Amino acid sequence: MDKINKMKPETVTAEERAKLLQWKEEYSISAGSISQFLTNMESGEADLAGYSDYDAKKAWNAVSKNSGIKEDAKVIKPRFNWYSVAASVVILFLVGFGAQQFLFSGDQMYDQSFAAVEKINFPDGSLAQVDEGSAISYETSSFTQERALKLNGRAYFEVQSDERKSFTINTDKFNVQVLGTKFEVNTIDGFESVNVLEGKVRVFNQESEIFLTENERMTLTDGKFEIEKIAKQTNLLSWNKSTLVFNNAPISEMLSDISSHYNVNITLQGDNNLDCKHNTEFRKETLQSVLDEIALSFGATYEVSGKNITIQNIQCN
Amino acid sequence: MISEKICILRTDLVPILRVKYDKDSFKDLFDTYYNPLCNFCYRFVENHTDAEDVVQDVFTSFWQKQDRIKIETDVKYYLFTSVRNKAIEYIRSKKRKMNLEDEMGRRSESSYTEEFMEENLIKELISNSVRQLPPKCRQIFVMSKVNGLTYVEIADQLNLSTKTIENQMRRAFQILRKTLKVR
Repeated sequence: MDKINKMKPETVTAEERAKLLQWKEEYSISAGSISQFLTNMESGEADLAGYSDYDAKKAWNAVSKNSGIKEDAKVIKPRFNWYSVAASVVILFLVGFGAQQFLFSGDQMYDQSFAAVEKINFPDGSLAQVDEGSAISYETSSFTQERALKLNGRAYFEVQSDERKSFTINTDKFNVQVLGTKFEVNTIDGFESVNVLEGKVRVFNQESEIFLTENERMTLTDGKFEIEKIAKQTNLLSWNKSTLVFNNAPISEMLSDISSHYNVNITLQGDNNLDCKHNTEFRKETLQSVLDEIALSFGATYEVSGKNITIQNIQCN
Repeated sequence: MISEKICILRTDLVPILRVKYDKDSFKDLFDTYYNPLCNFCYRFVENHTDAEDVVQDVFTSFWQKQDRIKIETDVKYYLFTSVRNKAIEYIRSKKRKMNLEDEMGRRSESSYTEEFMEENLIKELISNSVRQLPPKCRQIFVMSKVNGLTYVEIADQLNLSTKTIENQMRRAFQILRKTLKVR
């Protein structure tokens, strides 16, 4: 805005002036049309019927909160510390607003995300995409030396290769150590997993450790690491584009992809035909509209209870 | 010279000058267009809460995606178009009865947006000025032009003569023209 406030006629270039005048010509509401409208009102041809007054103040509160403009939570009082070094600054990236409970570090600044999926560029050239409702934090002062961060939730990483210095992701449930590679980590309860797209990854906790290579997936079942091959990649990382694509996919595959996309449990009840095939694409759809489409396409019904979804009677057409 | 008119609507200028909205100018933008956008959106979704939700979503994602949005024409045109698109998407996702398919097709045309953008912005300017009318004058004006009562009905309700209503209405239009700086 400074640029506009300081914009006196003598500081405006000819080009800018031309652009302004053109804009004014094309897009500003002219006095003539306002006058015409008033005249029409006077003669009874126009009115303000149905023109409502909405509560803009309340709406602004919602918008500024949802878009991360609001500053009120910028400094958070400590509840407990992630790092023992109390004085250093930790940057906490927090994505979305369902994640307020993750704000627990010391007197730390965090950068509120502006998007559903937040991209973070680390000082060493690595990058991460953090899912809505997930949080990443790291110490700015020592990051380049340590290459370590804390993750709560789901994120995809592309780690800058450095043979001498490993890159470590610490979570409450396990740790992931890599040299340079591409992979996804999820720590959400019931959906704990590491999916490796490229390179080699070490996953470990106090009890055990495993190594994963390209196209391998680790899941945490009853506290134990399990490895499996990633069979189909169509909707792997679908969350970071908010898009789910199904090309002639059997319903069983759709449900499993939907389950991991939205981090929900899907249970089937009654008579279901899981071989039905379907072509569809969901872009930025809510879970509900995805379920609505399935219900409509397959004559099924569903119930949602928190993170648990029950689907009944899937039939092929 | 930059005319006064442009300076008043300086919140529109941000994209033209290829600078980003900061918090303050974004708030200006919001305050200027929230109400006319909601009224515009209501034509599509036919529900006040839904209209507000759609408009709030548009503002939220506008702020979030500012870096990636290229405004080809004008910010208000961009906002009205986004609200129109989102409203249509919203209706489709709600799987409302689509026997209004033809009507929706017409509404999704850009000339429709242009026409009603201007209409809603003018109504907004006038509504703002109506709030500044003297109380009695405002009450009569609202009863007539917002609630659609006839002069006789208003006179009955307020226990005034029809002549008084006529005079108050004439006065209202005079004040409106003065505050809006139009002849």
